Amino acid sequence: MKRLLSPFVLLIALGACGDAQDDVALLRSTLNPDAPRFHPRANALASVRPIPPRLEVAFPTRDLSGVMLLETSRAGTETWLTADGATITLQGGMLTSAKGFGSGLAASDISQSLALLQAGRAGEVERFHSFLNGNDEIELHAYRCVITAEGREQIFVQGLAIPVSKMQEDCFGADQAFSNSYWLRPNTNEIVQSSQWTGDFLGNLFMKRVPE
Amino acid sequence: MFAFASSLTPAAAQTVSNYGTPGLLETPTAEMFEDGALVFTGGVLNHSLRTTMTFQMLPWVHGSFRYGAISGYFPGRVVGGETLYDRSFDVHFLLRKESRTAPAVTVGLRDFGGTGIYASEYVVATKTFRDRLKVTGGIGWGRMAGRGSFSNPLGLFFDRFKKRPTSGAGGIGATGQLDFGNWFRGDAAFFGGFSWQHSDRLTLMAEYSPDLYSSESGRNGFEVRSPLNFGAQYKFKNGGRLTASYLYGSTLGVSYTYFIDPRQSVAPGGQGDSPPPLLPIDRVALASWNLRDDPKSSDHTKTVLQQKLEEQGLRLVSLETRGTSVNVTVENAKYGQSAQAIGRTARVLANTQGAKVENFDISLASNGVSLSRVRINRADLYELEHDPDGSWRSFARAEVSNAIPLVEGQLVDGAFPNFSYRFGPYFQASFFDPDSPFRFEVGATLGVDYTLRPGLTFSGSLRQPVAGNLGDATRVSNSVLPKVRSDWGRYAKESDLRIEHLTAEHIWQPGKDLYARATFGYLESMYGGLSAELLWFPINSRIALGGELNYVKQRDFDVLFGFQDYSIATGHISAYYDMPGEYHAQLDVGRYLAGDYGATFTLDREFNNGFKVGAFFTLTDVGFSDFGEGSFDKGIKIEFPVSWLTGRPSRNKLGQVIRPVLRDGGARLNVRNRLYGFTREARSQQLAKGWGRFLR
Repeated sequence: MKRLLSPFVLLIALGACGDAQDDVALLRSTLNPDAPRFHPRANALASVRPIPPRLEVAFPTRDLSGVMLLETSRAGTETWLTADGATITLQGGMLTSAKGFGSGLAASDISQSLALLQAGRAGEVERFHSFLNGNDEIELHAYRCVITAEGREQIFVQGLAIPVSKMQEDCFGADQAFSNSYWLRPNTNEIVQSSQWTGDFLGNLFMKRVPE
Repeated sequence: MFAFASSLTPAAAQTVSNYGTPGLLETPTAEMFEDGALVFTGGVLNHSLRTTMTFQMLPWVHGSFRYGAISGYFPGRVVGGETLYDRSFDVHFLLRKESRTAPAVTVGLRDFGGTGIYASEYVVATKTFRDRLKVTGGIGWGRMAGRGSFSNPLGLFFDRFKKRPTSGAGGIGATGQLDFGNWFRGDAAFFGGFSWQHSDRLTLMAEYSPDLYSSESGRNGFEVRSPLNFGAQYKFKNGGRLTASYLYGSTLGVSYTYFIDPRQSVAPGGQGDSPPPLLPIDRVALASWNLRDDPKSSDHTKTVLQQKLEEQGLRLVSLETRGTSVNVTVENAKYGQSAQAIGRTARVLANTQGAKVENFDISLASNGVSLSRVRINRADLYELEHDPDGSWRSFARAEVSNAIPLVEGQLVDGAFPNFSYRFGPYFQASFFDPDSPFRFEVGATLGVDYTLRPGLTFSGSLRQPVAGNLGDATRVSNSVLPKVRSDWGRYAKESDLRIEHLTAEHIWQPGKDLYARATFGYLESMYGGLSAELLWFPINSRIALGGELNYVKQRDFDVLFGFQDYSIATGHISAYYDMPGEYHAQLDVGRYLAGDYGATFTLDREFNNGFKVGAFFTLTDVGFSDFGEGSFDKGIKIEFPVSWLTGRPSRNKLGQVIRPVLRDGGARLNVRNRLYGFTREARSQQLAKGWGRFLR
């Protein structure tokens, strides 16, 4: 998640004139970018019993994977937390925000897509995403999506094969295009596993519900 | 479909010349960079090295600062060596955009001040064919009127255009003034060329350059055998461009360009921890601290609040519950955008306060001085937490008002006195000394702040240099003015452990829309004394006005406790204007450290995320010749938030002022915590700009 910087930038970067504690932290994170960080909220959540629901997640583009815990559920939106304090929110299993990963997915309106998925139907829908960009502005983007049924498949959850139906959602907006995949439990159409777009910065997030 | 859409977007300058501006190899094109782009180029050919920073200030204007070195320019010169070091400024204006049938047209002024070694003016046109081929042609004056030059066509209208006066005729004392008497005068010549975009990565170029390098060739033997130059430019994945060229039939050239888009931080939404999600209100009501009936309950609620705010990097200073509102004051030590600190505070309040609290009045303070107050309706928070347009809608519903000064009774126990410290490295640089164009010093710095009660702070900082060559400067100031700044080399040389500042400072609100400051002590590394300031800054205003009076004495070169004989009363009246559309202007009129009277004009381009690029100049009653090299004080500055570079929340900024030369005229005192900078972050305009981070 680091970007190449010219020597010039590094030069003025060293010309720090602010809070030095931060400079030390900056230096340390530059020297050792992979040092593990545990967030107090994650520590608190990990000590809750019974263990909160878990979600296996991965960013294939960055070769990152891990487990998230359900932190809060309010008004139909679930907030899931990583060990280092990043969160995603899900509505009916569909991704609506991702904060702390560096992508700026701030919020979404995915109600039309969700309605089709829950009905197990193919069709055309609109969805809306808002992103926090690098200039601290919120950008609203609209997308047109086509949802298609991809037929029956088997996926493995904790070593057990379960039958699912796969749905694919192909979306395009003014200057972006992406595809989401959902593996649904037949009959209930509950999302068991999915791969959903978080924005240009990190691409798709793969996630799988860990059974209780 | 998408390819079609992207081909409609205006193509930013495809190629960059080794002068660091849109161009082919040595000649310019009429293109512009993307608005706001900051472009760094290093180019070398034969005996010449050019490093250029270009900033696309407006969609149709870009400005450049260049530092060049020409080796062997003074053959046999002993004092100062054989190399010419040269600083120059360019400015380019797009006169018309490219259309389907007609080319883009740009007028350029290269090296319009300075010593004039690269001085030239030109009008250039570029037309794109089939997206890949760009054909450029133009007419140039000055340095460009070399090969094939002809009598100035402008001479048809005015005779005076026929002859170009010798540039920099006033000698070194005259450099730095605008040479506008020379512009577009004397002979002219044509230039031109084309570029062919072979692939997304590779562009081939050929050009006809009339530049004869006449002042170089007689000195360092550079030979121009042909006007034809050929080159190839490779574009890297990061946007950087590497150009290799065969120039003037006699030499090879190479240049590299790096682009920075200030709007693109390292990670768009930042990698700092996510905000705590809002808990269902019935769960908050059932939390242990809200259930107790005993009188200690409110104490417990306060402790929980304090601790949860601390987790967010916020310090609770005051707390008061009044009916259905809770009024808190917090100090933000973590977030670059005040709006984010307010958003985090609101979430913590929603997750801790009993169900009867409906409104949150959140004040932001710094050193115990309230900067503004924002009222957030609790129900709005719940409604908008996951709304796609939640940021804007929550801003529309928030009420920003003047902060009320902190009152003793509301303060949280233990909030004052407050002690904080910083320890870390520092870096200081000096540029453009002809003996050593880059000087630096690194070391360790320790800063302490002790806020006794709201607004009254004792502060100090120490610096211990560890390495560097800042103190090796051997040039002695030749200033005819009081040496108020030009002795900086002696300060570096004759000091070791330094007291950078040691002050007692009081900041308070004497009335509506007013802030006042009085600072006493060692104000900065070169001056100590008394400084007093008053600022008028209505909460919703784009304009602020201030006045400052200082009586200061120059400190000893060891930067410890002693003073020299020189003392002066200095001060300014200042006007600040936060212009619509990312620009900020500041005018300071008054008396400077050397006793000269005048004004400083500063114009910054400020991006929402805190990245700033600006320029300033100061004109005073000190004559250009008394001022010395450079004629008057001027410079450019770049400042950006650390979070832009790291993606993690931080209030720190990194910055560098680049002055062609630092002399004694137009020098201003550097007192800390000037009120405009101190208060601005939490006033309405800045809150609105940062509100995108309210829910972050």
